[in-house]
Amino acid sequence: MKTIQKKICLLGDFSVGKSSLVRQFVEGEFSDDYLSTIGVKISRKPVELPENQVKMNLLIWDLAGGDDYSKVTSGYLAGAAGVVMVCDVTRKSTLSMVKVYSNQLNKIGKVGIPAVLLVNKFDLQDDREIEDEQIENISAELQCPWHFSSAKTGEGVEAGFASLANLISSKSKTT
Amino acid sequence: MESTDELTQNYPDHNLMSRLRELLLEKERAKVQNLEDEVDHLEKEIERIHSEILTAEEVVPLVTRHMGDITKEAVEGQSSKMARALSPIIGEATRYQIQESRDEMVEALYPIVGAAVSRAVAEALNDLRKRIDQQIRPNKGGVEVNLMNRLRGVDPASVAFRNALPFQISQLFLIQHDSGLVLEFVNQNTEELNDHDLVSSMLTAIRSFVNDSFSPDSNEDELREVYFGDDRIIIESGTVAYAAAVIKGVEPEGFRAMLRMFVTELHIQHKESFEAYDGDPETLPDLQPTIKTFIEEAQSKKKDTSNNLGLDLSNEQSTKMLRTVGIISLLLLLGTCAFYSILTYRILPFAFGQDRLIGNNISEPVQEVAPITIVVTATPDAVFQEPEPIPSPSGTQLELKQIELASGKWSRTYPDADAPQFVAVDAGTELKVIRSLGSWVEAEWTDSELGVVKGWIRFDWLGDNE
Ligand SMILES: Nc1nc2c(ncn2[C@@H]2O[C@H](COP(=O)(O)OP(=O)(O)OP(=O)(O)O)[C@@H](O)[C@H]2O)c(=O)[nH]1
Ligand SMILES: [Mg+2]
Repeated sequence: MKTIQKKICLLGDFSVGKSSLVRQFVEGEFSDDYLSTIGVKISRKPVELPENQVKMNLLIWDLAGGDDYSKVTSGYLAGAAGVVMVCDVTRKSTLSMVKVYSNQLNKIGKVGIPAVLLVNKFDLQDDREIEDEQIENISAELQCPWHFSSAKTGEGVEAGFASLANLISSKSKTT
Repeated sequence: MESTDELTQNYPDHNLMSRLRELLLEKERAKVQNLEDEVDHLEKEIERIHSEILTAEEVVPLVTRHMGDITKEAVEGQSSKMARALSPIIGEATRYQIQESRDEMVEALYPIVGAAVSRAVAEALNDLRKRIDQQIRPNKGGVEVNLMNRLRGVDPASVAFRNALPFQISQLFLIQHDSGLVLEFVNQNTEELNDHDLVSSMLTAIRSFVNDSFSPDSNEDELREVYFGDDRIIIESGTVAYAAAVIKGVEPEGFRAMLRMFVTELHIQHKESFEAYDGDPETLPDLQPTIKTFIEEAQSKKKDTSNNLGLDLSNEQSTKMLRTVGIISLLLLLGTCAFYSILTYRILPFAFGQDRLIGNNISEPVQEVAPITIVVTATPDAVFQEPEPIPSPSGTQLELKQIELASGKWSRTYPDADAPQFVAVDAGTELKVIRSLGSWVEAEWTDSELGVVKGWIRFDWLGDNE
């Protein structure tokens, strides 16, 4: 099985759980502490894609969240093969931010880049503010699959990243 | 002594008495009993405490076990207070400890001080390298280098020293600009570096951050060097990929240019595959041998230059040549000095006038100094004063004359070179000489702006009188 390298980026509003998702995915750990990311943090995780006969070494760029989407962030997005967009199921505004990020991606020429939407903190059902229908609408608009996830319980985390890896792999095959 | 029974039998009232006593003292008796119980209890308690109290030897391990936690809590809670309280003791303790057991202290401090010194030395050597490089750049090789360096005031020994400093390329990365993906990686270290893909990504992120933050509009200014500990990463960039060389020690002169050339060469040959690289290493050429050759060349260049630039200071040829050039330079220098001295001497009169007494030449219109032709005319009228006979420097008596100034001069308010300048007199102005004093004449003329004016002019400005 050959190994290929791919750079992917995590995008989303502040505190939606991007870093926690990466930590859960890479190290299988979760912490309740919130340490806001400054700039970017890079991790690596190999994912096996048996149907494509490849092992994909994902270089995961966890970018700082927030609405001050600056030129620096665009610099970090350059050369990315795919993106994970993250919103927080307990904060409705974070879903609208997903659209803002998607527009920014288009602006820097990343139209049609493989992407998945993770609706995170699914374990906090009582505080849920986002309905399935709203997610469906955005997912259709951005043409990207979506998953519920919980960095805390680990639910949907592997599946989310694997789905992006598959998207990237099938896109590479077609190009 | 009678028993109670006997008492009761002998004295029938006794029963009554004791009954009465019982009734009267019942409370006190109970109290006494309580007190006795309490004393018993306290005695037992004292005994128990006695048994629990430990000797100093027993206490120490118990406290030591918790010392860490106690100190940690105290430091975290009141760090500044703790620092204030401990600093005098620590200072004193350190001094005492150094006096008492110097060797132990040296051993204990070595890892910290050793690292600090090593870093300081590395920095100092790097500064030295930069200073020498600045002085000896640009550079060729062989004897001329030594010569040029000597002329630039660089001691060849310093150059030799600079080039003898150790240099090693521990790793060389070739990285795709945007993605930060590794195109090729060569590790010369004995230890494996498994995270080279993370390192290259992080380096790319840092570059991107620095470039976007500090020169967002320029593609030319970019991060070129990163220091970490004793190592440095030297970065040279091509259009789609950049090379990052992790080096230890002092690189040979011109190493950066060499690296740039290498990156350019790689781009000429493989730019397309670098550009198209999407993470599948099979699409890339094998650059390991090329990179290894480059590393070897760079490292051997260092050795060459250090051998070369020690420059065989005893080398006879070099010394001879130096001596010859030294003599030629000296002769040239002497020649130049002589030339300028003569030139200065010659132009001195032109620059300052013939009489060195004239100090204030700053605002004198600098014009060609030509002999002045005095046009002798009939004096139309003798004005202001009775004209005095004018002695010329050559002793010829001059009469009131109308003369023409052949070159422009500043007149003075009184007959002294240091006197305030009065009015500039243009060349060709007709002056009516009124009187003379020493080498000065007082004259009258018509100024285009001020009308008729009168001032002092040096006799020799008027040139030879005919
Ligand atoms: N209950 C619950 N809490 C979560 C989950 N994911 C993240 N959190 C918490 O949310 C907070 C923010 O998480 P981060 O992962 O730091 O968020 P981020 O998106 O990286 O934030 P920025 O770096 O500031 O953009 C932390 O306190 C996490 O513990 C989740 O799935 N469930
Ligand atoms: Mg974060």
